Amino acid sequence: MGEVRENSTSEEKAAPRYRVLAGFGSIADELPTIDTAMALARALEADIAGCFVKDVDLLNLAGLPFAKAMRPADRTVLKLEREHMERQISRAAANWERMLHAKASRSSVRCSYKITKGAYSAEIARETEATDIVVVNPLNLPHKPRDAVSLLLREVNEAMGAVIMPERCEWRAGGPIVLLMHDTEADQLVMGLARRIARAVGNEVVILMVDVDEENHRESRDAVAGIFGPDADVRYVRETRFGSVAAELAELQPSLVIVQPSASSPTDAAIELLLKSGRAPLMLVLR
Amino acid sequence: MAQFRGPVNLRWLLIVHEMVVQVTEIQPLSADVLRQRCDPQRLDFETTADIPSTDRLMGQGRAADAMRFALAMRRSGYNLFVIGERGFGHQTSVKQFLEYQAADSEAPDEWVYVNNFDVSRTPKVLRLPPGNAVRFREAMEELIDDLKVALPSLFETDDYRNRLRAINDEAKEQQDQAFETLRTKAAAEEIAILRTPMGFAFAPTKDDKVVEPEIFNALDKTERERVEGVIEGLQHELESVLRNMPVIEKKRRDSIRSLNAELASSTVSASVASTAEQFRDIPPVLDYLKSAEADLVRNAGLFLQDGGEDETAKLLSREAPEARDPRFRRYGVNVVVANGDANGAAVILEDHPTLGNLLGRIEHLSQMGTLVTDFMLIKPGSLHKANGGFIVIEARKILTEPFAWEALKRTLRGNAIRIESAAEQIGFATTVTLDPEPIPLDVKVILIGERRLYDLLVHLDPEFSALFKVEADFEDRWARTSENEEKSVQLFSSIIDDEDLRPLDATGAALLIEEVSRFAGDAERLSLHIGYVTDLLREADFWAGDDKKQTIGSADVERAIAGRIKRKDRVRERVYEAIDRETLLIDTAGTAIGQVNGLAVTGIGDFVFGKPSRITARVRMGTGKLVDIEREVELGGPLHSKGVLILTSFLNANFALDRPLSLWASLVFEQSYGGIDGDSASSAELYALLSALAEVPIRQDLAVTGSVNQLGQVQAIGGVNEKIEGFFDICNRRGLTGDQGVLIPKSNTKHLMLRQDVVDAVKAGKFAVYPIHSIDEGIEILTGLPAGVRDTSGKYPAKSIYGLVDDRLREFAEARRAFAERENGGKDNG
Repeated sequence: MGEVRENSTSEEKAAPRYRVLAGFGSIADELPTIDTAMALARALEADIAGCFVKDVDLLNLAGLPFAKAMRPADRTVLKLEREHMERQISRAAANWERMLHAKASRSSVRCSYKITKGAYSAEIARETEATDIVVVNPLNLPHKPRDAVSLLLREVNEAMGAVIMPERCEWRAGGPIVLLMHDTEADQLVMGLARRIARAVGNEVVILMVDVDEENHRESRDAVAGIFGPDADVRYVRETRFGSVAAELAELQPSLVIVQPSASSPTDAAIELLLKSGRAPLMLVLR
Repeated sequence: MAQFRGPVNLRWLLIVHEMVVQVTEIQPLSADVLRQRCDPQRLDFETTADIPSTDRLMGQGRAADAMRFALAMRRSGYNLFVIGERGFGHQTSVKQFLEYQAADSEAPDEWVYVNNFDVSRTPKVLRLPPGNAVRFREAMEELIDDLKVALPSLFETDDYRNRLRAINDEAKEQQDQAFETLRTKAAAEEIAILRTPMGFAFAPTKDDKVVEPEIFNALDKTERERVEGVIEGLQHELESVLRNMPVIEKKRRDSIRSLNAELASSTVSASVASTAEQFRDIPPVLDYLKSAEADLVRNAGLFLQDGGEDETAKLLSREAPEARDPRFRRYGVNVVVANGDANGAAVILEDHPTLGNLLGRIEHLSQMGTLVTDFMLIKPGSLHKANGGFIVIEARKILTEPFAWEALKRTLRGNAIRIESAAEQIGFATTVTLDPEPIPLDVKVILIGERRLYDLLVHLDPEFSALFKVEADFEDRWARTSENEEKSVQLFSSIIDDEDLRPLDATGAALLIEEVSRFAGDAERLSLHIGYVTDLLREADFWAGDDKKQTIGSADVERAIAGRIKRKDRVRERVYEAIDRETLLIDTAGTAIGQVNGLAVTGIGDFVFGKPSRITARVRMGTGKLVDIEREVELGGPLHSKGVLILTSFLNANFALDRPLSLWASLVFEQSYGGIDGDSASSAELYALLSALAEVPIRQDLAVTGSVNQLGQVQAIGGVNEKIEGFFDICNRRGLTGDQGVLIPKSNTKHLMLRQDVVDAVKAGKFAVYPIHSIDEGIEILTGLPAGVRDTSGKYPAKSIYGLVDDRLREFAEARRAFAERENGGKDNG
């Protein structure tokens, strides 16, 4: 497995100063969001901008005269009321704000926190800036994951950021940073980001080349070597239904999976599978 | 210092010179009988290095036979009670004897506790032949270590992963499918399923957004009712979907379990079979392995999780079971008793017989603030370790430990060791605990205690005699014969070997024999107080070392004896000092009427010394009452009172045959502020009383000891050496006159083992020890007058002590009669 070199590269010197945008909602457990955002902020020496979205759909639902919710554990039906829903959401907003500030204070990370109201993905996209790494919990997205992710990506894509989805996973110290690549033209920005995070947290980097022909793509090999050195741990995975990638990830137990999605690549299916399996926080780097 | 006490009695002055010639002269004892010597020449060795060691049961034939019998008798209840006083080294002697016996026995079986996979609260106990317990534990550790490698690799194969993924995918698919169907059905009606903090909810949508309440309320009633109806129906379906979720989840878990079991089964079976092969002759182990195999297959998933066991812990784990991965504790083997290295049966000396130390205990660990336990925390007690052998316990210690004695009896009655907790018995324990299977008990319990304890147990504990049927009654002394003196030297040699001391030379051994005889308080006996001998040898060795000697000689033994006395005699010095300064009044010269030097012994700890006491008597006319002042003020014990009552009987028998004893007399130990007991001063009290009645003075340069019976015979007493030495010390400090001495019962002569300085003084004619057979002899020495014998008419000679006493009592009787006539017209009201 390739060691990360200590000497910095010209790409790294030119790397932008990132901001970690942590999205919060009223449904999911946001501790993994906070932990992941905190780990990244420390690694990249970035600030955290917390954004809690009061989902307007939930408020509208609670305002309907027949609004009821069914508790999954015991199938009890509860009547929904708007005032009660607002109190619940406000309490969640205050709770995550307190937690974020407490953890940021312990980690000496600067952070801000704001509360907005609207549709979750639209509000997060609105808050995103070009050099943001966005950390969100997809459980806050009110539709089926694939649709939700696509919607989010579509909306965030306009702002050119990276999105991390730490569903059911906390930042796992010690595991490697896995960079999932499929494109023959390796992206310098993504690799630079991976290297920078890995160096900051002291983890190794493993590059998984998905459906890339080892023999015929010298270009990408050179690009990887240019960033990570000649001993970089590069693995080539043949994947039609992503089973091999999932198995590889299960073995590697990564602390973070970085993916550059593309509408035509098998990594899009990988994103959904990773989200479902919750094996590692997932970073989607958008261009 | 008073030379003469009391009024001068003219009658005595007149007759003394006529009578003195009639006194039978009692010869003092010669110096050679005052201390029975041991001649170093006769011992015939240079140092004890030439002498073979011996066992410590020398002189204990009866006790040794009893012990042999108890150990050979395998029936229930034939446990042993060793009767012996503390300090005699019985514990060491018994342990040595047991170890000798145990060496001939086969090493007992070993015991381990293992998990009960069916009911973990009642751990199972397995019995293994010697040398197998630790092997079994290690074999189980190896089995688990092997499986830790074998099973995960089994579960990392593509085949397993694919099958696992298929199970998970199928479950997920079923869940998704159920939701997806519902979602599609809802979407067709423009209804969305929303996740809310309270659960799942349905809401009408327009352009993928929930319809605002104002817009919904603006819809016509029919449309609103339609939407509500649709949502009502969807909620019923959602309930059905959610109801099915646990079923899907259970099915998924069952499938994974079956898959794990199927995969693990063959690997586990092969590994267990290999372990079983090592113990094919031990059926309990094979039974256990069978149940362990089923459990391993059932819980194969344990091997797939990361237990956090690092390499260091793994390396240390053999030595420290608690360092092992806690997931696999259930397959541990708790070795309770291992006799792999044992030569013969175990001999356990339980010095602190608490309930827990005897029966073992179940320890607890604190986890997240809760006390938890398991079979690996069962700690053996001394009964476990002694099982198949012997356990020695001091009776006093076990009787003073709460719950311990009752628990020991229960255990012996049931022939099984059940671990009991004191906290549980008094209702303190509220933590989760275990009920381990009891271990069958085959042990011989040896209690060691004093006779008083033994008597108390026999009389007060009805179960005691049934459980301790054999008593070994240890002697505290044995006859001082030449043969036994030689055997004593063998004992010294053993102690020297055990204690790693310098060899003892013949002079040292001879002096030690004399000291042991003196310690026994008997010239014809040798003490068996091994503790005392051991201490003396250790201290003599110390002094020999101090003088850079290679062997212990008589000078070292002497120094050790003197050193021990010196360390302990502060109180004796204070008493002597008080006598020197006449704070305590003791005369050692002159004569006095109704006053005699008695001798008592007193002690501080184990150091006793003789203390002279002035005894006085006063008489007057009365009704035959003898007042023991010590008893009146409750300072006299019952034996002392008995002695005084015997005096009354003596007077009645000798002087009141034909008239009432018209006497009132009082007796007192002067300046005695502590209690007095024993009858050893009764002869001295009688001398004082006779002197007071006869008005004849008693020599104060003599001291007296001995009890007296109704016939006037002087009987043996205890502590004769210390008593003589006590009076000698006082006389010596004031200067020996040659007239001073002590009257002792003749029957105590055989007990004399006096200090060398006393013997030397006697030899030089400066001090005397008179052996007295009767009061007649004693009073003659003390007063210089004959006691007197009744003539044919029944009268004592007028010029004898008894004659004078008789006259005085007759005077009292006549005076009493005259007094009665004067007061009551002849009627004596007594």
